[in-house]
Amino acid sequence: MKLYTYFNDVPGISPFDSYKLILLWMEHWKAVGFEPFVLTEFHARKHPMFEKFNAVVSAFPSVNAPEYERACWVRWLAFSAMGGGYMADYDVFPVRVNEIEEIGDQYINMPTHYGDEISRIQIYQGSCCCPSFVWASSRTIDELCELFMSGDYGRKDQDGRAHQSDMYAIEQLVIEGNPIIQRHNTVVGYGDAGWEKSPAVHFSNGSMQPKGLTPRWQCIPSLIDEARKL
Amino acid sequence: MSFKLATIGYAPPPHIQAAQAFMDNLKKFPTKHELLLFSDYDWPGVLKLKQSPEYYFNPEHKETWPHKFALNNLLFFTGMQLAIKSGYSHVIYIESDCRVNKVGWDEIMFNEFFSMGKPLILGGSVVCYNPANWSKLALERWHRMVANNSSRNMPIPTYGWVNSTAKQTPCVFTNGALSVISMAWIQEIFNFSDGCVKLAEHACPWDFRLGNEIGERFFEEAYDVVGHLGCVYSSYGDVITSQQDRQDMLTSGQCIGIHQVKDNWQP
Repeated sequence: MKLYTYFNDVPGISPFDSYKLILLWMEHWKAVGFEPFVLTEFHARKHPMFEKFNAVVSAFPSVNAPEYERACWVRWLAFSAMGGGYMADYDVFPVRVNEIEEIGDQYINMPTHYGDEISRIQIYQGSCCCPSFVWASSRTIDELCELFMSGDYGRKDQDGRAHQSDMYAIEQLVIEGNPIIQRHNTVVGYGDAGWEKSPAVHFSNGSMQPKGLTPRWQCIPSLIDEARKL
Repeated sequence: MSFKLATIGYAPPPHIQAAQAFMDNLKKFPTKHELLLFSDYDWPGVLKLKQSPEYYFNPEHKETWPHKFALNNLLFFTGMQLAIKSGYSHVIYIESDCRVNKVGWDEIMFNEFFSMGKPLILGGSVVCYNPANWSKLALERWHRMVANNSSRNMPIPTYGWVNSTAKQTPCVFTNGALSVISMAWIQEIFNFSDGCVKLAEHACPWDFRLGNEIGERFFEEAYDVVGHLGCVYSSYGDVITSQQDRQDMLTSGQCIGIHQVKDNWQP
């Protein structure tokens, strides 16, 4: 089954490390039976909602590079345009292979009607509401994008600077008890308690850089090997 | 970098190499995305260069050129500089001996490029050099790429210049004309601060140089960042296909773009 990720070049950031990380990500997910696939804005632009959605989210404030933040929003449309399924950040890697295969099996052969789970966005790094690994149907992604477009979700200022992100929007939806989000703890952030025993690990820049573990594509394979030996 | 697609190329003056056929062909089969043509001649709707490329590399005095690819290189780097200024994220590079055969042919190329679902630097008609001179894994990757494409528009031409005992990084690239190119990578690989003439003087064709630069960065993974597109066929020379073969590929619908056509023929 397909596992999507989203990539967009960000000005000022060398594409080399990103490409190396994506290639490593593809290799690791292929090894556990997924078909990794890189989405871009080309796919997002196929979505009928693109023009309106892009105009709205481009105006959201961010402490990050505008292109980076915009990509975080726009990836949802690309994901929907491809019909939904699984989507992961390209710094989330499988660690416990058997458990990952179970996750892969979870949503295969799902009925086409919209049952309870089908109509919810499954967030696998549920502890922090981070959409680093998700499953969703196209219709539910569109519902989420409508909520994003309302502008009512995701505003959380950082050190006095205005900031709005899809992760905070998801967090807000969870706090408000909106049933569109369902959380799991299958993916754990690198360095968090029990990460070595987790089926999949999110090797985010924020968790790796302070420890000097850069470039990530060079460091991740040995971290995974060590975790698998435990 | 915002996501912006375009086709870019040099339009020679009418007296050079079937330029009128090239312009007529592009008019007959317009692109979906932006088309940026540049020239030292006053073609309507074409960006006029301040200085003819012949000012630097005069075709009448080839003995003064640093090498025989200098003028083509200069045209390419001039195009890339314009593409950077225009903020394009990905471009299709065309030359005046390209011909196309479908309205919106550029979208078909971009669609195939992005539908591969891989982080690509280049997409087009792939060429490989020295596949057996780096590692077993590199050779396996080359083999897989050739096998995957053997039933498509054309097997992947593969050449070499070093013997079996020499170590050499793989050189994988797409034949320059009718390539989809990631502009982020053009800016990563080439230093435009010294100007296009300096870049053009580098002693090999620009597409071959891209292949070398990719090989030196990615080694075995070079085969993962260069994608073969079945919708076009671009070659250099008439050894594998004749011009008639290529014309047939275009008129039969096997491809929507071909290179090279050295006369006034157009579909």
